[in-house]
Amino acid sequence: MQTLGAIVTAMAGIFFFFAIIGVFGLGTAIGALALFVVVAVGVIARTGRQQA
Amino acid sequence: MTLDPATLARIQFGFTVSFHIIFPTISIGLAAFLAITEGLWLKTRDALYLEIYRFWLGIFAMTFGIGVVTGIVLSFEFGLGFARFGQVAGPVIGPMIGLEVLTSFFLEAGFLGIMLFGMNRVGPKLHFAATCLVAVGTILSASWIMSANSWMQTPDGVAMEQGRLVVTDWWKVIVNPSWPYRLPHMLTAAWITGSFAVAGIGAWYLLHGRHEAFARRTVSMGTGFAVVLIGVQVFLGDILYGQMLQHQPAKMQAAEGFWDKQSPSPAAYNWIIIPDQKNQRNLLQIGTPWLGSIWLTHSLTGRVEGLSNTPPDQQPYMGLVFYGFRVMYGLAIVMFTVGIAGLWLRWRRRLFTTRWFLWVLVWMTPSGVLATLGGWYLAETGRQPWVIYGLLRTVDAVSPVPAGILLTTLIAFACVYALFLGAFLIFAARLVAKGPADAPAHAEASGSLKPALNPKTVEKVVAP
Repeated sequence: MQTLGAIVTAMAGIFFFFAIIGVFGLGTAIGALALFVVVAVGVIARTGRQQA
Repeated sequence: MTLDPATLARIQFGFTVSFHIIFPTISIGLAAFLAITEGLWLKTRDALYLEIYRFWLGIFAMTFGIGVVTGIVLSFEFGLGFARFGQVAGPVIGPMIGLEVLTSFFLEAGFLGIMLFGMNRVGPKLHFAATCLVAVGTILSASWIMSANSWMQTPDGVAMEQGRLVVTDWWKVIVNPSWPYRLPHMLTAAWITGSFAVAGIGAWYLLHGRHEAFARRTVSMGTGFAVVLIGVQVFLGDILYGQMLQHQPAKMQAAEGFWDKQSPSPAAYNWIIIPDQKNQRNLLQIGTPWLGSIWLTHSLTGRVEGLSNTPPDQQPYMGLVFYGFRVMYGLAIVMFTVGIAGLWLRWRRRLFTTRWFLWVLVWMTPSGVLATLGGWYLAETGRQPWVIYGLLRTVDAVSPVPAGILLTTLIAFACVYALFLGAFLIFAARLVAKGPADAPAHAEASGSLKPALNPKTVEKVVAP
């Protein structure tokens, strides 16, 4: 399960990188960046308080 | 062997500006981090934030000091090595440097003392205001310098009259075509640099089982800021790439390592090349098939323009531009990967216990500085052979100074800067070795470097 999760995360990372760098157009890049920031902040907010 | 004054002047300026840029990059990043940390302390009254603030304040003070001193040297070097540049472009560059002093230096000078020495002398809100204003000062300073440098990349708002540039529109000079894109790219680079520095030191403590609460909080903050910022930076970098392709095509042609007017279709993305500038070809090139078309033209079959589109006498040296870009971009990819891995480990509740990741963070501590240096080599070597793009060649900007003087001063700069770097690394290492618990309540002033370098003095300063 952990391996699967790591693979999915890696694939998501590659997708975000390609999307943010503009491979799918400017509109998609802006959307992907916004989603990336929301996901990152969401993960940090959910786990940060318990860990740090 | 005959020494060329133009080459020596370029090496000297390249060396001193490369050394200088390290310190403002760190101090811009740390100033923002300190403002956020002190703000969180005021909001939560969690003493751990104050401990983090006090620890990083000492390192910030050192980077700030070296950054100011080495920055002032650059202004004098305009006179020493590039007097003709001053004669031609002085009416444009001079006021911008002056405005940097009047706005950011005065602001920083006014509040830096409160920030460094005022923790127990003024109220916490005033102290926080001082920290924020110093952070704003660093951003203002970067804005003016980026404006001046961007104008040299994409000059606008001037006219040439009797061999001198005269300003016709100050707004166009300051907000020149590349500045709105290069400034956020540079500021984000500095904040990323600070984030990885903070995370790396925290990871080092975790690996050695020291200051665990402090280390967990700094790793969490550092990786958190880094992952968001690197996403933003990738976006900003691509936008800037498109702009520079429009304004400085030769730079971007050299950055991709192709010589032919049109690359094959689909184009590979070159990672390693050995360029032969004289014969306008690569002796070796290693790349990933298709990726050049996908990344650079955003299509599967797009072709990339090569450096042969630019006349040879207007071409930059491909090797310098290419590898400057690869260092910056390669590290950006690594940073993005580390950011994603950090998010995944955080989600799995293993961010602070996964030792291989903590070692990666330790090794990534200077990554922001290295990426920034790569970016600046791309920017500055890619502008060649022009010092002011399309208006003044670098060889025509050099002072009529004998090569011996330039060589002597270059050696002197190398010796003095080695001392600066050595002192910085020794003091920073000592602060890290001592740890946050021993960080003084405020920075300690010393009138002379000699007693300050004495280990007994350091012991006294950091004593609780």
